[in-house]
Amino acid sequence: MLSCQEITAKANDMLDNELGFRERMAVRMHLAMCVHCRRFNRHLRALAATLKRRPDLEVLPADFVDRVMTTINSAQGASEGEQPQGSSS
Amino acid sequence: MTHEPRAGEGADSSTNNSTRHTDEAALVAQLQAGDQEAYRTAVAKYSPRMLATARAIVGPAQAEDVVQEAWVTVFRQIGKFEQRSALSTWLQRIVANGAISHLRKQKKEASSDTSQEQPPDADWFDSRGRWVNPPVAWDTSTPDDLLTAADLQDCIDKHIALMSDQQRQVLVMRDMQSQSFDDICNDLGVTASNVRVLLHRGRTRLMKMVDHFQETGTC
Repeated sequence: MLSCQEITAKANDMLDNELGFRERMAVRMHLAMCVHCRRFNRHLRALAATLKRRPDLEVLPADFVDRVMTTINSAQGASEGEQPQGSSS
Repeated sequence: MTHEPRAGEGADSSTNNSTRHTDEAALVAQLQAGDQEAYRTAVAKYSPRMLATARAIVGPAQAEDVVQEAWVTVFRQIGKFEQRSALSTWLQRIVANGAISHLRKQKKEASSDTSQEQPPDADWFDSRGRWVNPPVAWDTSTPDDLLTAADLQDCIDKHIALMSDQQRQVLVMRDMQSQSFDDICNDLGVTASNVRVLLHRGRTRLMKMVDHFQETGTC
C-alpha cells in the first residue's frame, strides 16, 4: 500500500505520463479513498495548467519588434554574404 | 547549432494542423528568403512566449536581451531549419538554450545534486508518509481562476525567481514549454531521475506558496 507521501510523487509522475498502467491504477485507487491526496492532485494539475498558459499572458513592449529588427539588421551587416535579401515588396 | 526536436513535439493541439503547416511553411520559406516583413510578423507573433521563457530563466532585467540574441540566432540558422518540428517549438528551444548559456556565462553552474536539499514537502508528512499538514482548500482552484489572480501571478514570479537555476530551468522547460524529459536531460546535462526530483520539488514549492497565499493573501 502506497503512503500519501509516495502518492504525491506518483501524482507528479502521472501528470508527466511517466507511470505504467498498474501504477496509475494504484494511484487512482488511493485517490478515490483519500481526500487530502485527491485535493493535492487537483491542485497539482491546476498549477501545471496555469504554468503552461502563463506565457500567453506576456505582452511585448511597444517598440520591441523595432528593436529586434534593428538587432537582426546589425547582424546582417556584420555577416555579409549570409544576409537576407531584405525586401518583401 | 540548435537541435531540432522531433516532429509533433510542442504542437498546439487546438490548432488546425493542416492550416498551421501551410501557413507556417510559407512563413518559414519567407524567413529563409530573408523577407523583412516576414521577420516582423514572426517577431511579433512568437516573441511573447519567448520573452516569458527567457524571463523565467534569467529574470526580467535580461530577458529582452536574451530574446533579441535568440532572433539573431534564428536569422543565422533558419536556413538549416527543416520543419521537422513546429516553428514555435524550435524558437522556444533556441531561447531556452540561449538563456541557459547566458546564465552559465554569469556564474558557475549550480550543482544538480539534489540529495543535500531539504525536500519542500518535509513538513507535510509524518515518518510513515501520512499527511500531518494536508493541503488547504484553494478558493481559486481552476487554471482560469489562478491566472486571473494578478497578485498570485506576481507571487509565482517571485518564487520561481528564488529557485536554484536548475530547478527553475527544469520547471520552465517542462511545465511552460512542454519539453520532453530526454530533451531537458540533454540540454541541462542532468540525469532523468534528477530532473524528476527537481520538477517535483519545484512544483511542491509553488503549491506551498499558493497554500500560503490562500490562507494569508500574501506571498
